[in-house]
Amino acid sequence: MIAPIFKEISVSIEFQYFLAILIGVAFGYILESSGFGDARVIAAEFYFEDFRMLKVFFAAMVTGAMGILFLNWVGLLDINKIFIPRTYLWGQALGGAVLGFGFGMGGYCPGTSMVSASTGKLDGMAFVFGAFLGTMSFGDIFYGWLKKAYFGGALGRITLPRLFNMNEGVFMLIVVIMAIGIFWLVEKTERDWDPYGKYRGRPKRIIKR
Amino acid sequence: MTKITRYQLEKALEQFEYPPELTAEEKDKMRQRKMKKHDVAIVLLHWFNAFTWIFMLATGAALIVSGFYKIAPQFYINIMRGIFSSPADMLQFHIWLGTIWIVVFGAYTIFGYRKYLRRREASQRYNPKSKSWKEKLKAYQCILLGNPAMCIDENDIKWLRIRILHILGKSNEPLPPQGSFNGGQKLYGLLAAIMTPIIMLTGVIMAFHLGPAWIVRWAIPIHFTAVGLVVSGLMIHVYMGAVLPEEKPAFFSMLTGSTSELFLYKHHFNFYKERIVRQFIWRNKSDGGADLKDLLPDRLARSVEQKLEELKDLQPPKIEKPKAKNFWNPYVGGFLLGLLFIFTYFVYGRGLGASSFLSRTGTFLWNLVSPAYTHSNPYWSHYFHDGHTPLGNFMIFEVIGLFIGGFWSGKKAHRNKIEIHKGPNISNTKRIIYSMIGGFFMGLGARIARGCTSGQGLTGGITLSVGGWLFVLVVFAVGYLSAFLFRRLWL
Repeated sequence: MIAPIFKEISVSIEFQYFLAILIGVAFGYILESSGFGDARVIAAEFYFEDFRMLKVFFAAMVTGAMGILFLNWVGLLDINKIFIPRTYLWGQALGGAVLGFGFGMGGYCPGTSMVSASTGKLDGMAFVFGAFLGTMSFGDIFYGWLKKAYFGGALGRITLPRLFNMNEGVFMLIVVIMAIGIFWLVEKTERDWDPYGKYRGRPKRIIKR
Repeated sequence: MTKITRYQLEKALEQFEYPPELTAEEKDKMRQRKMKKHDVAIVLLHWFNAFTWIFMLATGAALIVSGFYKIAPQFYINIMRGIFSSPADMLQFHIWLGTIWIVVFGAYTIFGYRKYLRRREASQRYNPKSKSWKEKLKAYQCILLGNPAMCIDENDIKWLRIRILHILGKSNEPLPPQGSFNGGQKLYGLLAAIMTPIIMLTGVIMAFHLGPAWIVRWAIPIHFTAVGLVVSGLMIHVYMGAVLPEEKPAFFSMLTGSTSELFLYKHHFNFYKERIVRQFIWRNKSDGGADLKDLLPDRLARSVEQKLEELKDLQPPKIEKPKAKNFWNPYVGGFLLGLLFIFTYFVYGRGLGASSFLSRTGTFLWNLVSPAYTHSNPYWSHYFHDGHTPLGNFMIFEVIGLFIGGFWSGKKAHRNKIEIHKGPNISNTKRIIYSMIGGFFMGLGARIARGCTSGQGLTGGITLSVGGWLFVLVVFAVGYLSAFLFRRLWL
């Protein structure tokens, strides 16, 4: 196992930070080019108009998951040494709910709002500012109140295949099939289904690709 | 007579490079008429700056007591100490006034930038971006100075050369006409614009002891040198403004904001022409018609009208703005994003994120204000465990890159533009407010869930973490609900 490289061999912290900047540049470039600098594109997903955001998200997730599994299988990446977000069921459910509420309201998530701010969108800048206040409010005000939920439902470093006691490869296959199903479904929805038509009062605006 | 366009009038006035001679009668008339030179904001800022400098220099000179740097005589230092009752109080005053100074200039920079962008658009109206290095040099200066009227160009260098020859008594060449600032003022403006941020930065470093000891040590001589350079120019500036009789109108224009037409005609002919064009356009709009004879001295008005007759079919050149390119195919974007995650996992053994950048910088700022608070706060203190610092983290550098990458991509695809994206039926103010509130929930939720859509959703999703998948499901489910509630904002 040679990876994660920076945990197997010692690399100067300066180089690690430098590479982090380059990775960030690629991250920002991909997000902006995929259309995430525009809140309307992201919000369009929630109105069954343009599922660009969902497609990018799931395509990235499936690619990433398969890649990591593959690297582990060929014996390059040690899965025990990588960061897997720990599960706190209540914390993630409550956080997801609060975040989802803000998502519909502001039309960005933190990463995309920063990208949008960097291309000069004033609403993106306002969102970043709001997100900054919200972030700081957690440590300054809400932490004491939400402590129970924050640490609630702790399951540790657990993955879905382990939870269902399933082979990782089989689980991955299910995920891929599910993803293809989702892609097919959203493509169909984009074309044929428009529950918000009466509110919109105009035909769907699907961004050309 | 057919309608005269702005472009035609500008071109017609361009033919008169130097101000034509005036008759005594015309001079008299123009001396009576006032013309606006400075905005109220500029006048106020100028005097705020002047008084701040007086107090800062007075206290600053008395604060330098170490033998090598000491410039003020001992009795002066004693007097100043007497006024402030103690050296510590004087230092506090110096720091507080400096902070206010930085805040005021910061506010001016932020709110004045829109004006800068408008002016730049106006100055590029008929001249698409030129690529020559001289033009580029000017453009960089303009970004620094924040006002196209302040940037040094070829005309100013010519002015400086002739002005120096005049002073030496070696030339009779007439000075080239100037915009609202002449070459000398611009040169000093450039010096001040470079030195001011240096003074501010080194001052803040010295006052709050930011960074390692060697930085603080270096800040001291740099602070003094920068102040010294500005003061050397300041002496000329004050001497010209307050003492020289021929510069009197310039001094009074800084009090009232306006000056006589004659002064501008003689010393700032290019600026005079700009104002004439603006007045002409304004009168055309408001009174339904403007007569050049009311604006210009009689003979000049007649010859300009003749020129306009020749140019009456002239049309401004059309500039085509590059159109924004299409977004990438979402599946391709997602695939590349997935590869980037694999690479990051392969090298660092971790995923990408965004929101902890905000909490880390926030904690860093809190820590500057009150280290005791951040170290005792049950949540923020975890950023300091094992001698870690909030800024010494992968995420900080990654997000700095994120900003660069977003800007880069936007620039390549011609999507970089100051604007507000919103639904068709809401106002800009409403969008900004809802965006900010939405951001608040987003930031709060991201902390409760230990990460945002990238840090928890994608990272957790890729590693098949149970909590990550739960998080993604909840975000999308609540997102659809919340979008239904706020459909008025987007549809």
